[in-house]
Amino acid sequence: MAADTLVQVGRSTRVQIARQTARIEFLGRLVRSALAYPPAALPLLARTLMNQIRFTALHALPFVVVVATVVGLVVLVETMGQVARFGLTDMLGRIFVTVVVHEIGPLLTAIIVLGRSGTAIAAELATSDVLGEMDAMESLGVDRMQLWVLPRVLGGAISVTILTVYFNVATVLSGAVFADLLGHADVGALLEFFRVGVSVSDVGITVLKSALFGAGIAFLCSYEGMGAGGTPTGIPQCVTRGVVASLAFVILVSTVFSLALFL
Amino acid sequence: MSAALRFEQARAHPDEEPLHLEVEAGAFAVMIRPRSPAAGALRMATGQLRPAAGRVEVLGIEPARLRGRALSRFRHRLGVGFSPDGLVSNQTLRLNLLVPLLFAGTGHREARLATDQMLDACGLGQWATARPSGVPAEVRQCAAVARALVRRPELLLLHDPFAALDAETIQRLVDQCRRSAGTVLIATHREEPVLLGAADRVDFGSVTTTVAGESNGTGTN
Repeated sequence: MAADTLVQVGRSTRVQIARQTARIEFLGRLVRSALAYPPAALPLLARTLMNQIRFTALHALPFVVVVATVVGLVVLVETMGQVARFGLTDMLGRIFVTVVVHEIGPLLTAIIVLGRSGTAIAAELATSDVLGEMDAMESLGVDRMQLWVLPRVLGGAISVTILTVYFNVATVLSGAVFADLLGHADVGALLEFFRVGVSVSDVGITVLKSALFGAGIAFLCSYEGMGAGGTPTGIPQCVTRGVVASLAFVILVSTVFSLALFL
Repeated sequence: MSAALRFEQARAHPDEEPLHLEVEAGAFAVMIRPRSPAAGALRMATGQLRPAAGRVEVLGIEPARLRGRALSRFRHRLGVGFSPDGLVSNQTLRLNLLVPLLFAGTGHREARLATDQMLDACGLGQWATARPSGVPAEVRQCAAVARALVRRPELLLLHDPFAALDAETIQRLVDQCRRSAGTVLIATHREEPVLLGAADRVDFGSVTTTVAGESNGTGTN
């Protein structure tokens, strides 16, 4: 029994190492492709990038704002009750920034983008592979990493950053407005709390984290999409793998950032 | 005249019949084969498939030995069309033709001009802004051939390119292939009369074949 378990553990470990090694190789191919991008095709890259940003950021904006408004209400109501009990009302801005701007904003935004765009990326690339589109372009000397993956990774990084900024602003505003409506505090005073509580480094950390989330989601979903195995039945499986891998990545990066800031 | 394409007992898979074929520069050759071996032969020629046996030489180069940028630069000299057509579904027909030109280093203005000229020459001018999913099957096939020709390649490789087309359209595309490509090899499993009539030589796979052609001065060394 113990021996069987050991064999299973060993086998699973080997599979995981192979999987991570393959992802690192894919990252290497992406970086190499980016550095060798033909100058004549840069307008095409810009155009594809704008399409990605439009789909990922612009079309998701209404939903992000709705979620941010609800989150702002919930977080502020919960926080107000606790800080008032312990006489820490002047800490409200700092607490809100730490919770929302550093953690909830980037994390929830990434999860929204993962559900909307990550799944679409994995499915789209898998379908292109199954239909022979990538093979056909490759036979003409067009690098599939340059045409399909690079614009999506760049677009993901930019889009999640933009959406996170919107999310954080919407959350703070909604929190302040609801606090005022509920009679807990004055909107102007709250917004001043938040303004004082947000430093340049807070903004920098948020931007960096968001860009990493966006690039990571697009990268992992592209990787899984291109590994669908060339059959239609592989498409839903690769979408699932992309979502799970991206979720694990987002949580891992979030944890690392939190620990690094704490330490 | 040197050979533009040479298969020496080449097999894409171990259980296939070996292919022995030589196509001289400037020739218009047709190869009649079952579907899978024909596709495999073209993939060996583009370097997308390593020969399981034998040797393949294209424009004096063995594609199986190339990697990275050298392989891309080699493929920029080719025009290739597979079946199914592999047109990128979220791009217009114009963009499908523009992309191979841009990635080969052609400037945007020049590439756009070449694209529009080839679309018109292949009878696709009115479909330039349509996506592949929104056009009839015969238009897709014409577009796939146009994409293979748009760079005026030294060597044109097509797999079953005319299945959905009528005789008049096939003749127009065959004429365009002769004008725009240096050497042509079309692999098909069907004995299309217009195609067989236009070919310098037809290979049915049972004998060693050398195909010699007249140079048309386009894309040859």
